[in-house]
Amino acid sequence: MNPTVNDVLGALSGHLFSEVLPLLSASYAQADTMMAALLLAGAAEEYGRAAEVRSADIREMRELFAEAARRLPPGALRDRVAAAAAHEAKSLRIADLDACRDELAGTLIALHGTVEATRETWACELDARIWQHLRASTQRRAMATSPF
Amino acid sequence: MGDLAARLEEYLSARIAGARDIRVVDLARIHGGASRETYRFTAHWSEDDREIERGLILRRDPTSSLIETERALEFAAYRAFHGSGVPVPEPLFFETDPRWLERPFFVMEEISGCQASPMALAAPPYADVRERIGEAKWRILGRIARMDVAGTELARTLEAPAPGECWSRELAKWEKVLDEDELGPQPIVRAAIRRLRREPPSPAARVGVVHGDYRTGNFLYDERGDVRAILDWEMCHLGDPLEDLAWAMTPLWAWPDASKPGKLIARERALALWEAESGLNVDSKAFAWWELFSCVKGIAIWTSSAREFADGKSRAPINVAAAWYATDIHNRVLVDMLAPKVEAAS
Repeated sequence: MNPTVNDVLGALSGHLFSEVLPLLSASYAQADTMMAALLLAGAAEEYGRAAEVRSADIREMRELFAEAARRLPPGALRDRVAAAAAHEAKSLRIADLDACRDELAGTLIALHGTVEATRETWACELDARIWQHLRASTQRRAMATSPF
Repeated sequence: MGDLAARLEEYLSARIAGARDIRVVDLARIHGGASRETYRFTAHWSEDDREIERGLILRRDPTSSLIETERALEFAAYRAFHGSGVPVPEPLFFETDPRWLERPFFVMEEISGCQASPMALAAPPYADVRERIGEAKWRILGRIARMDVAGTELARTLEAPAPGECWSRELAKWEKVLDEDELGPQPIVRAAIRRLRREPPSPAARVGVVHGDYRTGNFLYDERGDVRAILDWEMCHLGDPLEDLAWAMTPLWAWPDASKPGKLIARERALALWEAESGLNVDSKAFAWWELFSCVKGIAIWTSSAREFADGKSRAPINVAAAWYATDIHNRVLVDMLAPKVEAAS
């Protein structure tokens, strides 16, 4: 089997850090190369999980929309949310998963604003569930390293 | 680089009265300034039978940057603060005529023998003087908050908001950046903006100078632990001084340990030093608002850098680092700030 893409990107990052960086004398080139190495490490991390992260976001948002569609009063938002609950990515390509995620995230913003303004029990519970999703989403996307 | 040196020699010859035989040597680009191209160089010239050598810094507008800033603003800030209790390099020349270096630029004094990197604080010799650097950092920020710039060019450049409008003006400004630049919907930061609008802070206790990007990394420190110069004033404006304090303390600059903002001294000590120097009290409720706002402002800036890269205006790696890493951290901080209140209420 060929080396995996994330393995190759990780190895390139390590090569820049250990082999190329020590040879550079100009501080600007050093800093730029260090940043490039860091980004390759980030790309390696992202490559391995990209489809899973996006699929999980899509799945969780669709579940939220299915619940919200049962609770919202009739109107444009309920129609939009109900449609979003059935929305699927065109394919498993990252660009298609991103497009689907963005479509659903736009609907989530509209739903979240309405939920926050609705002081009923179901809305408070849905608000909390939305935050559970947002927390889980950030945890899935958390980068292992940081330049800060 | 040779062409740039020659053009700089031509420019300095025209600007320094009485100078002869100007030579620019050791011209090198410095990393870190995403909003300006920054270069270090040494200028040599003859003047009144004396040989003069001076280390200088060139800050030139890039073809594109993280933040689109008023080019005269940073220079005006350096002029307003030079010679005050807030250390800044001496500003020398400001130029907008494109015939010299194609884009606007300014030249200022180089402060030598210093370090700016936050990472350098982790090891000797700077780790040994970190407390001293930290104390100076927060005291100087207090002095910026206290500074009266009335009558200066800076005051004429900047519009002063009413105390009750500081928050709404800044929030609208950064929300607009998000609206214009985001590559995809961002539910977390939008929830933060709604919270900020629902629960506004009390009016500013004083409308003062806000540096706009005051943080470890934007000042020069030396081996003795002295802070020698505050840099990068391009986002300077008038507003609530709590804005600067909150931005300087945003957890991103100390990630993952927010107990020592900017990786220097304890948060409580920093707040006490700032209060003593500024003469202001930190209203905890208003400060919490500005801390939340700082994350929104941060994400707006990182969103701009993502847009710059995606549109091909700037392919600099720093733009991607901001878009990936800084956005990730600020989103996590926002969730930790916002979610518990909702979870407790449900």
